[in-house]
Amino acid sequence: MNASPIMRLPLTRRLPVTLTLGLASLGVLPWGLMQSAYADDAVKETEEKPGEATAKPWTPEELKAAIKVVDDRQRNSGDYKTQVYIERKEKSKNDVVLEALIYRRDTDDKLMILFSNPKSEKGKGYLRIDKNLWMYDPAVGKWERRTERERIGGTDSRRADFDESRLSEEFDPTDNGIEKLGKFEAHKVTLNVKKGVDVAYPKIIMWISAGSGNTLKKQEYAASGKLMRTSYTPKWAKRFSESKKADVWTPKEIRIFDEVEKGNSTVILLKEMDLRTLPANLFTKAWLESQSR
Amino acid sequence: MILFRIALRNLASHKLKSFIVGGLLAFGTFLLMVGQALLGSLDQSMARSVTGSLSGQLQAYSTGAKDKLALFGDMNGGSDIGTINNFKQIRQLLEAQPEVQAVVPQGMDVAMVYGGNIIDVKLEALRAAEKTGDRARSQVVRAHIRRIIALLAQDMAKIGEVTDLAHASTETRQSLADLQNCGADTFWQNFDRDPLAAMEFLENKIAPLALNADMLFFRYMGTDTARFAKEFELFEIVDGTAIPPGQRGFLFNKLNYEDMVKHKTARRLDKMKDRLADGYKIAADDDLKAWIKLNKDQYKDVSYQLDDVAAAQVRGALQQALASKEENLDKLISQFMDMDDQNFSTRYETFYKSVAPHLMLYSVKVGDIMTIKSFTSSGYPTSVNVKIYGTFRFRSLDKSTLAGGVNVMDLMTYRDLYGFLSADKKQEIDALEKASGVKEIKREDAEAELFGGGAGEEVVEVGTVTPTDQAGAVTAAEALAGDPSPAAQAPVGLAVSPSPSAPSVASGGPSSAQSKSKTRRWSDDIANRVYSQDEIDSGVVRHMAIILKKGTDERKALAHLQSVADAAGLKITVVDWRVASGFIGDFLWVIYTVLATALLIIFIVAVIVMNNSMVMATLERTKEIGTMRAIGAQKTMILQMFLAEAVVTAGVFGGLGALLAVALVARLHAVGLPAMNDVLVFLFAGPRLYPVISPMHFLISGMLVALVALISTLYPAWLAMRVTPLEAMQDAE
Repeated sequence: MNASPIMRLPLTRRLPVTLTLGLASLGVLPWGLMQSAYADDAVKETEEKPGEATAKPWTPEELKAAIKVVDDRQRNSGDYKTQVYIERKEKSKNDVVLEALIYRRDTDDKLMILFSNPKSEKGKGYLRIDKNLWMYDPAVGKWERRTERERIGGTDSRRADFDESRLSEEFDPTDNGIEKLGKFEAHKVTLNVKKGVDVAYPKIIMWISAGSGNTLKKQEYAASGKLMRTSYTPKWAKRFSESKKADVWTPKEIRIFDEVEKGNSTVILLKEMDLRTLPANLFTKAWLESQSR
Repeated sequence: MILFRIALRNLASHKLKSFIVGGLLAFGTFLLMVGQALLGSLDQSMARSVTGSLSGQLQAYSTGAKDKLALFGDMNGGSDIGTINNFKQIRQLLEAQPEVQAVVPQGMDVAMVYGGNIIDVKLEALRAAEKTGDRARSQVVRAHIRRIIALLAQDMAKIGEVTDLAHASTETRQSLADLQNCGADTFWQNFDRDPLAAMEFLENKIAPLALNADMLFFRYMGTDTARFAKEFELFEIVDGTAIPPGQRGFLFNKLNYEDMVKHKTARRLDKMKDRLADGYKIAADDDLKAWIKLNKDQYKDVSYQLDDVAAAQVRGALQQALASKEENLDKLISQFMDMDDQNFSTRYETFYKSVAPHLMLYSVKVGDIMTIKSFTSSGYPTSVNVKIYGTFRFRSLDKSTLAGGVNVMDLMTYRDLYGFLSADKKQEIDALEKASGVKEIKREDAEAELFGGGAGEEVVEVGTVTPTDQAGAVTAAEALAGDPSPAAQAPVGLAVSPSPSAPSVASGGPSSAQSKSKTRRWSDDIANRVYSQDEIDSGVVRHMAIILKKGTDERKALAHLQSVADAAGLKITVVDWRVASGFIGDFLWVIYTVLATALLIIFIVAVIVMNNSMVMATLERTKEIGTMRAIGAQKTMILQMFLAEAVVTAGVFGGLGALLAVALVARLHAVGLPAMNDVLVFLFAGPRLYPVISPMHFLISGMLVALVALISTLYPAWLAMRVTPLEAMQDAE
């Protein structure tokens, strides 16, 4: 009787927050602007012909560099905006669908998610400023602030989920050689957490495209060794940003399969990315509120 | 008569055997009588608690439920009890049955209420004052915020006393700098130049440094509040008023309100007072000591709530109460809270007289609009504003957390929060899925579909953009365009008024004066709208209480109503309150089982012991029995002799046991059996249980004891009947 009541809610009733925060944990929200150092390779990627067995295993130095590239793609320092579509399917449940606009300013680590569909969600928003994650619901005109220490919405998500990717700092990589992923070649890399580092999943296996350096597939394991979820990022978009003087890479589609609750899956689509400078007053409560008036 | 005289003589002549056998029978009878009295009374008190508070005598829920209905929770934690879409039809049919008094729609759920910390609360007040142009109020609130900032800065400065700030984390140093910044006069002198920026700075930089506010969880029952208040006999309003019939509203259970919403220090003092009244002493009770320690340590819960004027008044009052010249208010509060058995009463009075009036004693007050958040059944978070009309209690269950943990909400608001997936919403989601163009891929086909065939890793190069263009607002406006009606933004299933808009109760936007006026209209429309009985009955419900007329046999009514519902094709399952109450009902069965097992063991032992004793006695009495047979006694007389002995044994010792049981139960009935914890308060339907013995208990006990005595006599009697005069003579030789 003393268990937190919210934990007794059915999973589907906790999903939206999980989905929203899942974006972050997947690296979608802080997804990366690629550093210029990698730009030349990226251009080559567009010319890659699938199925050509040309890749060679990485040397330890190349492996470390590749993981850093993966991290770098989830770090940036500019403004951007994109539309996101999230579709969650769960066995014997109704689908949960959300559409939102995501705004991000990395110079001062600000983030805003503004939901646009379905109608019942329109105008709701998340606004992150410093350590504060504000939530707004126009139906009640109420702001709520969650702090870093809080569990969010009864899920295991915390603000730390919004942090940048630190794979190269938190994990020791091992190259498992080249594997075919469909018609593509990919470096299979096992990441084991470093001693004393606290992460959600202590073991991750990643398939990094031999051609582009993009992560194509990722499997996350619990400490017990149990596979928890598998995600795929088959499509990426690249564009050049004048402000960054570098190419920007973003996943266009992410598919996540729950390996514990078989049959549950999530699809995330990202589109209409815009790298133009956002208005200065965008990341404020007043602006978010004004959108639902 | 001669048989009974012989039986008495035999009992007297075998004192040890009689004592052992009789003792067992007496103990068994005693246990049986006391057990029946307690269980009978418990059953009645539980029936009163459960049926009078939440359940009614019968409950009905959907036959499509995956879990069992458990109003008070069960061990499995399941809550998928389906939904009922035709409540109006069900109610009409059931209320037409002669044994049914009323049918009350219900639904249980859990909601969250986020309470901001003290700076959040004060900043909301500051925003409100700024918006309305209330300069005087704004200055008072600003002063309070400055005081809290000063207290925070003092606390942060203590870090410097124990560690070298040069080696403190960047975060700590930044926090100290922020506190210094907004603690300075210049920050407040410049406040009016850009109040919004100043307030956002305080909200984002300073408020997180203050004490964290709790997230409150409330279990509530959505119901037709007017019918609920009328039909549930234990329900009564304590503070405020009932929710006006047909209107939206929320009633806190008084116990839940005190435990969850009241200022923690004040609540602990209340609980200490109650515990001391029960005879406990601070000097010898760990709970009381723990509460005192918490009150001492958490002095900030008090001091942060005081503005300069209040702080001065409280300081003076505490100096006087403690006869102290201490100027530091935090120390004074801590010393004041260090109470013992001698000074508790006077300090309790001083607290409520001189300190409490300056505190926000309840984070939500009767009359306030409260924002409740929940996750809908269709998977989306939703929030609603609802007015708190008052508090209520279930009579005699004031201290029971089982009954006290459930609050009451109107059915319309419940439906909004529960968010039943309407056909329109389903259609909308289907349309969004279709428009997305997402192809459904099975887990096992994922790699082939995503990386093989015509699909594959795709990199699309997009044109260059100029950084000087501004993005954002335009696209947001487009994305949010479509149905501009705030009705579209209302929670799923919300029956909105003709001109709805979003209410802004808390912060509101700094530049949202226009919005504020719109939202207030919406809020008033919704809050004051009176829903017809037809509207209340026509929506979805999750389960319903069936209140039976007095004197109705529950079992017969259940069978009858189930058959009526089945015949009408209503697809509901009718259960009695024991089943509907979940683990509470199971609890009674557990007690029954334990008692029955104990009695079974005792009586089996009694049968064996009695049997052995009488077999031994029979062997000893072979000569006597043979002689009796020789002088003409028939076998039936021998049998009768043994049966008479069993009856006398059962009568004498069973009667003794029954007398002891009557004495004990009479004593318990006079003083009452105290409920030692919250669960027992609910089971006892009050703080004490007053058991009674009924004639039926005598009858059942007498029959059982007689049966045991007879069973244990049969074999020795059979042996005795086989004794012949010849055997008696041989034995003599």
